[in-house]
Amino acid sequence: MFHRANLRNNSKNGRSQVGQNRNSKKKPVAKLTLITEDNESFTVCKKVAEMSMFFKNMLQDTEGIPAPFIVPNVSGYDLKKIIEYCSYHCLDTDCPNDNDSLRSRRDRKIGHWDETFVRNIINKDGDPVIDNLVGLTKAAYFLDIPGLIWLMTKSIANTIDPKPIAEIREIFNVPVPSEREEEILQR
Amino acid sequence: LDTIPNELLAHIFSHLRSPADLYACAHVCRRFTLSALTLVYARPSFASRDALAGFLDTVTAAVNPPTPRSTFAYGTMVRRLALTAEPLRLYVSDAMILRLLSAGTNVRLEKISLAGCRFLTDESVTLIATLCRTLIGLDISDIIELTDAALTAVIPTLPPLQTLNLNGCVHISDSTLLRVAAQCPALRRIRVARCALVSDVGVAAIVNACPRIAEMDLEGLPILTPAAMAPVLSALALRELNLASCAALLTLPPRPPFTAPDPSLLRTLNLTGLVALEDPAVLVLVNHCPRIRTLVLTRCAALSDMAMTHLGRLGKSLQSLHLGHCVRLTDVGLKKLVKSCGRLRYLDLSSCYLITDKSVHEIPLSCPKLRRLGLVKCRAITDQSIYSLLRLHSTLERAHLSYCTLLSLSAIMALLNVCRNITHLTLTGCPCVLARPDVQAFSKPAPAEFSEGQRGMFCVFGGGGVGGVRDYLN
Repeated sequence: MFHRANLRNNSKNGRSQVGQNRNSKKKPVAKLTLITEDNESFTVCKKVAEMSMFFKNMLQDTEGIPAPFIVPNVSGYDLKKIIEYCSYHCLDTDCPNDNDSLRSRRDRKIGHWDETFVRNIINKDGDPVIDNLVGLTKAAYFLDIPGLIWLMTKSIANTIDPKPIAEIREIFNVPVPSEREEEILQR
Repeated sequence: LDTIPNELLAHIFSHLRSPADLYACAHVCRRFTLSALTLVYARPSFASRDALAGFLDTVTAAVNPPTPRSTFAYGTMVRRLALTAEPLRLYVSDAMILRLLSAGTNVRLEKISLAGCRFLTDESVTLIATLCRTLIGLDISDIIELTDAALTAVIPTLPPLQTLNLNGCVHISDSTLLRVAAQCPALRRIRVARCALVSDVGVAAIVNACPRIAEMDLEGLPILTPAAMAPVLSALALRELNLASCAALLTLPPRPPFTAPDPSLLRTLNLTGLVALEDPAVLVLVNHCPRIRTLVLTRCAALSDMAMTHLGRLGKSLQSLHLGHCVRLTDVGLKKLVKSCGRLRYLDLSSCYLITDKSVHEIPLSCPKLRRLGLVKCRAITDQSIYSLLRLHSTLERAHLSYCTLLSLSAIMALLNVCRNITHLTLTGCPCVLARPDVQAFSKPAPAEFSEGQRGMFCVFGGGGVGGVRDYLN
């Protein structure tokens, strides 16, 4: 894809490369270094980071690129996936956004790339699938990325779509309620 | 799971299509219930009187939670209410509205539609205005009893209003509109069709005071004069305008001189039945509103081929054009029109009886995207026209060919076989099908109000009937 933005994951050495990039290129691309709470570090283009309203607002407030930024509440795995998503979609013009009507949000179809993206989350070895989906959804919600929130919630909705109550409880690991509680839910 | 915010749960549930899934989720655990039921109750829909009665019982029982009878205050979850289903609307009474609103539905209500609830009175409107603080859409069309006095009294309590539908409220006059203009600056859509007392003064006041006005329905206002057109056409945000059957709009827009600072962004304009509208007025309109996409000129019988040349200036903007009963239209005008407007998707030429094969031949060549074509009562067209239309094989979806008496069954067969996307084909009164009752059997049933003679002529293929008749003829 021609519009795939520059993405570098330098989690191995865990160091910032902001300065280096600035000096080595003629036309500097604004970059931002992010460190997750489990100490993985990522360097992303400003354009990619701005898919997240959280970073966008932060960059506007600080007027410039801050030092390596510690992202709270987001794990390295989640941030890696988020950057993957944002790099692919950062030049899209018709991402789902908060102004969409309920119906258009519901009827929108998941694109081909997005489908593979979600399937790869599901296939991550061993771990229970729904936990990964929910974890990434929460991270997307925290960083406020409307397109990704739409994709993840849609995918979760698809997994529970035609299922009976007992199976939904199983998926989300909800304990079977007591009879008294059951009675309350019936109302 | 315990850490998912409620907003995200609501997001997830909003993707579910069927209420059954939502109910399943609602029974999983208490947090799920809250998120899922908020969605269930946001837009309750009622088809029958029983459904509404059941809903009323539920919300009334839930007024003071947690009562022993229900877990949540369902009434406060309601955001949109529509009591417009056909049998139901005749049962809606003032007492029912009072019961609904006092059960907490007023707290978050955004839109309420009471269109055609004929037995409601001023009392209900007053109640809604005083209790619903968050209302942005109010549809009280066709509640004939409503009075000017009641509306002018309650409008000051509705400043956030964006949509107001007063179609067919025949007693309201300019004083209501003046009050709306003064009190509701956020207004975007207003409909006052058939409110015969509304005049230039009220319409101009709305346009001047509400900068975001985007849609105006002024159909059938007999005393609206061309003087009102200058302010209306200068409204910058206006996208849709309906002026059908406004009897006093003899010349439109006022000429001369008509000047407005900026070109209008109007997309949809309906001028049905302005029988005296003349060609120069079309020129002024087209120059002022170059972005028109949908234009309805049905029964503007004074228009001639010159008007078609003027319409050609709209060029690629124009997508849908209705010229039914523009009886002076000839091949010359139609050819010019289609040559300039290559993006037309819908063209209606019903009863333009001077049209012949020559200009119909030009339509597919110039407008390759045409999806719907109306040639009802164009009696001069022959099979030759149908064979020309075969060029539209991948786009044509609807063809109206009723009363085209010269068509033969073999041409219709060719049309059906080549244009595989056709979903609707009308051949009412065509001798070629009238002679074949076996073919006519695939038609939809005639409307109940048709007379015996009309039923005999009726022949409309739609849905499965198109495929059925195609297979049968082959």
